[in-house]
Amino acid sequence: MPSGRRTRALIGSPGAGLGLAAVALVALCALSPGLLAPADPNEQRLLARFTPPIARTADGEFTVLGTDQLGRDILSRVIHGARTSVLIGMSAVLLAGSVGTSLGLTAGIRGGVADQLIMRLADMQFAFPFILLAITIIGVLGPSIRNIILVVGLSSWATYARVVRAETLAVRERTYVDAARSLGMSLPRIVVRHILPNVSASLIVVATFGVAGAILTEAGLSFLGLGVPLAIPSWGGMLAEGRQFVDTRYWLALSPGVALFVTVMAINLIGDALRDALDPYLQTRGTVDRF
Amino acid sequence: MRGITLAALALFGLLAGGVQAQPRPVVVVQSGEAATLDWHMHCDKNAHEPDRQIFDTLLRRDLKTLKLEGNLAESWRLLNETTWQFKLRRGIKFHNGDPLDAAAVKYSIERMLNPKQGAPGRTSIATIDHVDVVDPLTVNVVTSKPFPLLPVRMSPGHCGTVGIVPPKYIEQVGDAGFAVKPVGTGPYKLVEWVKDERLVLEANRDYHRGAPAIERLVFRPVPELTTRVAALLSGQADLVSDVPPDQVAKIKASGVARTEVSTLGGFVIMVKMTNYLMPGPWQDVRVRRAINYAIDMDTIIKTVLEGYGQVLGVPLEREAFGFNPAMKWWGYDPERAKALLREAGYANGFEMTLHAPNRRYMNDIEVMQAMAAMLGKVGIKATVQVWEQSVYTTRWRKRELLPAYMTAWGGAGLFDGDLLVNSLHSKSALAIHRNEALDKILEDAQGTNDPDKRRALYFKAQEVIFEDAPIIKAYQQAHIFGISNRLDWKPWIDNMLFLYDARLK
Amino acid sequence: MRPLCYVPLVLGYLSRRLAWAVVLLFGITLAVFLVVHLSGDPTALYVGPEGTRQDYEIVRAALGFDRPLAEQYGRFLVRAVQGDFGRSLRHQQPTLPLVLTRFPATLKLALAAMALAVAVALPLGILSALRRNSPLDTVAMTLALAGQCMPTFWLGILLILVFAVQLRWVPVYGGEGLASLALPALTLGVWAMARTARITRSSMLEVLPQDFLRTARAKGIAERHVILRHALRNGAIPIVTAIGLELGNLLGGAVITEAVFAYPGVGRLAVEAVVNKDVPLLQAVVFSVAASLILLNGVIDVLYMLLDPRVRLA
Repeated sequence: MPSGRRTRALIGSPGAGLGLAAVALVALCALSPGLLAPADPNEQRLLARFTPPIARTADGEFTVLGTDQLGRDILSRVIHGARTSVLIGMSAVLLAGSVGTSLGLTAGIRGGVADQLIMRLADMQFAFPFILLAITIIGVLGPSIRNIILVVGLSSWATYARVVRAETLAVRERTYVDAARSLGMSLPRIVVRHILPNVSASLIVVATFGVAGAILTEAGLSFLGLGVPLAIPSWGGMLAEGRQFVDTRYWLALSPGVALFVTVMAINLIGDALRDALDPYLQTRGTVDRF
Repeated sequence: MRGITLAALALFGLLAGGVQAQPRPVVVVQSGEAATLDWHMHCDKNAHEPDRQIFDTLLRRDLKTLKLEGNLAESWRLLNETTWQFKLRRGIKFHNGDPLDAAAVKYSIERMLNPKQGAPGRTSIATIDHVDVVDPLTVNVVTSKPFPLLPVRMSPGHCGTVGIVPPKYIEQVGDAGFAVKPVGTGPYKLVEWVKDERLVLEANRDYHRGAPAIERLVFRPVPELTTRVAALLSGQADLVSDVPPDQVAKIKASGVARTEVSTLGGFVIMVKMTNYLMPGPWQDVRVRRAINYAIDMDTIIKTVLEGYGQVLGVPLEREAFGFNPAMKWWGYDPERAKALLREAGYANGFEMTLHAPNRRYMNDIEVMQAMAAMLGKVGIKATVQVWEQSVYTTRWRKRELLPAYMTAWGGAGLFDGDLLVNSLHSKSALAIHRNEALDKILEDAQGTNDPDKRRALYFKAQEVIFEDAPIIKAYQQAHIFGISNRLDWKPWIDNMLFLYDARLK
Repeated sequence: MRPLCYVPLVLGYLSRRLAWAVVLLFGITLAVFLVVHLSGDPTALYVGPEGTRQDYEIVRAALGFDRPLAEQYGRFLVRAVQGDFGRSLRHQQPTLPLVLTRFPATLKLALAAMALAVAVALPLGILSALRRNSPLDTVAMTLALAGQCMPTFWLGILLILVFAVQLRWVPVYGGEGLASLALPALTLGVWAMARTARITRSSMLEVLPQDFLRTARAKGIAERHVILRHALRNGAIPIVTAIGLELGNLLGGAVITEAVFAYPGVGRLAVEAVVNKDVPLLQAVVFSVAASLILLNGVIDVLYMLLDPRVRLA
């Protein structure tokens, strides 16, 4: 598909347009939360706990989205939480993507024992229940953003490895790769010049869904008490903390819930559009890891 | 096509329908599942709650006066400094018909004492040397040195107390069999236990105080708090313990359930600080006092705990033997905190980590966060580190939760100054503070049966603790129970569920 | 297509798969063992809060944690080969029966979730494809997308509050028969439902314009048959793949749903085992879940072959 049509397909889809706009907003929050947030997300005002949205707190300050169980400003926490979600989503995908891609390339190009070994490792990852890996690693190393990234990354590399390996195998058989090889082109160059560009379309799509999956995973881990440390605001953490107030003080969980929902939806919309534009066959492969 | 849609609808209808209304037993929902029902083999609240109905102890406490009174034993006395004699009530039988006699008491105590048994509460009664059967209804418990706490250890409590178990039955079914199908002398007997699903108890018609009013009890593990409260509000459950304060209004307004608050005998919660295991400002007593001055515990209790608690200072239950009600603790005074920090050479503050358990005590994480924010106002940059339960316990045991961590004692029916040993004697497994004068006082108190001497020693211990400030302001939490309107029951003082007195309205 | 012809092929393939499965399971148990022991031995959890150093050593020896790691793992393997996964530290009972008694519950939940998902998703996906870009399509696909954007625990709690507390149509947990499954299956199944609906739609869209359908229609075959017999069969591979993947996810991933609904399945046992560092129990749980996932993958591969003989059995 020529690239002009791809771009048009991507921009032209109304869903993708909305998605891009939402993602841009989240990215803005993630890049400069300090500029946008009206208050310090960790500042407690114990006497102003549970102030509803669009109201004045007991100590006289106006709050847009209300305050939580420690009197912290929810709007500020949602804005700062964007950074956590984006950080986890992007880094986990980068980790899984780079590990998975290198292993997938190795398996696809070298074949033989290396291929068998790597693909069996991938099988193992698929058969190892994610949650056990998550609790154990975080239990051992302590809850931190880094460890969550590690857990999510480690539990999704195999998807990338499988996709890349399959594409590599397909590309390897093509005549231009043969030609390059017979011309004496080195293996790394063949990979960079011919194989990577061909698998990148699939990779981008898998990665897009991966970001959405990682953000949801962080929320799930928070529910199990394995989320990011308290001092760091995160949507998953706010949602998990707010769940017992859902029918009494709805605003604690509503805002982070909407933020998370819209972001994941936006990323999925973009992913759909990318897939339609880049690789219509990819939709049948497992892409998003979840609980 | 339409066929498939119809099938889907039908399936959904099937799934959604089929709720049957039938008279049901009293259902208690718990936060977790017992691993074993062998009284001697756990220190777990979720196992103790059903066990409290199945087993019984020699003595018990009067709910109003807190005085010990006879239970399986009709009387007891101190023969000499190291020998306690118990006279058993005649005619009590285990659920399987075996008689409750002196041999069963001897067996029960010695089973817990046997290191090979691996009973987690063994240390608490390790002062007992041996047990003599005098006649079928009389036993002498002989201790290696004076053991003033012995009667308390023979009354209901969460851990380190002796429940009476049937020797013949255990020989028959083995420890593993007993763990899943226990037999006791309590008001209820076990009917069935489907792990992770339900534990069903049935009234013991021959209970020595008369049959309980409720025919059937079901204990059910429900890990998620929101679900436990939902079960109460939907009329599916009758009793939920450890309800957080923010759920009280909702339960009260529901029309199907109410809350009962037990302000007596609750957990004594404190943040311990080390003075020798980790170098740092906290080794200086002025800094520890400054930290106490910085914390506005009244506000924390009023807001974060919504009033369901009380500031204590000295980490001892107000109901405990030896508690000095005249004791005052360091007040709230941020200016003095800053002055003390300056005096100690920390005018620019310092960093410290506060280790917190994950939902072990009422709103514990929020309390710790509020404390950290208050410390921040006097220049101490405190970070709260929350640990998953198993890791917390492991690190706690290895004394790795440094320089400060939250813990609790009490709330388990001990009601004695001896609690201070567990939390602050430097040799205690969980202490991270060392004060030799305090150690000596506490050891002296353990070595005498004379109540007046003991009381005086515990008063002295509290003075030493106050001066040394090894903890951040202790507080006692209230315990909130959610109770369905059809159930008539009030919490027992040890806050462990005991449902013998419960009845349906 | 005559499936019988493939029996020898399938058998050879299966024996190779089986050999790999053994290696895989061995690797997984080793991984679990190492990961758990990274944090030190679990003795501390099994000594009472007032226990002394000496008590600690006694318990440690009794649990066998004083032996070298290699020896501990060796012992485990020798017994595991004989079908004995040791005794649970916490329950003080053999682990395998503990796991196996819960397995049917999780399987039931996963299958109910999948059945619900397929029952809704398949017709929805087909209808959406047939009426592409109609309001029905837009609404269905938006809902499907939304279904993939909600954290599981959140959905579960909302469903409980609405259907169990407010409306009282179903119990919060437990209950008899299908009633006990309604909310957990829906919670667990929503993701799979959304995914299957979207995949069904796109596979159908791919198949619908193809020539053989036009031929079939030209032959006068009723439209219903054209869609169900011809189109669906040809679009089935990606749908079966997706369902298989999802079923695997559901089996290994019911942890949160089981926690929210107090559902007595393997997921809760797993969390409990990890929280209590109950190594033998954890091994038994991971082993059984992994084994069933591997089995499931094998079944799906064979299904492929029956659906499409061109699929290479590598």
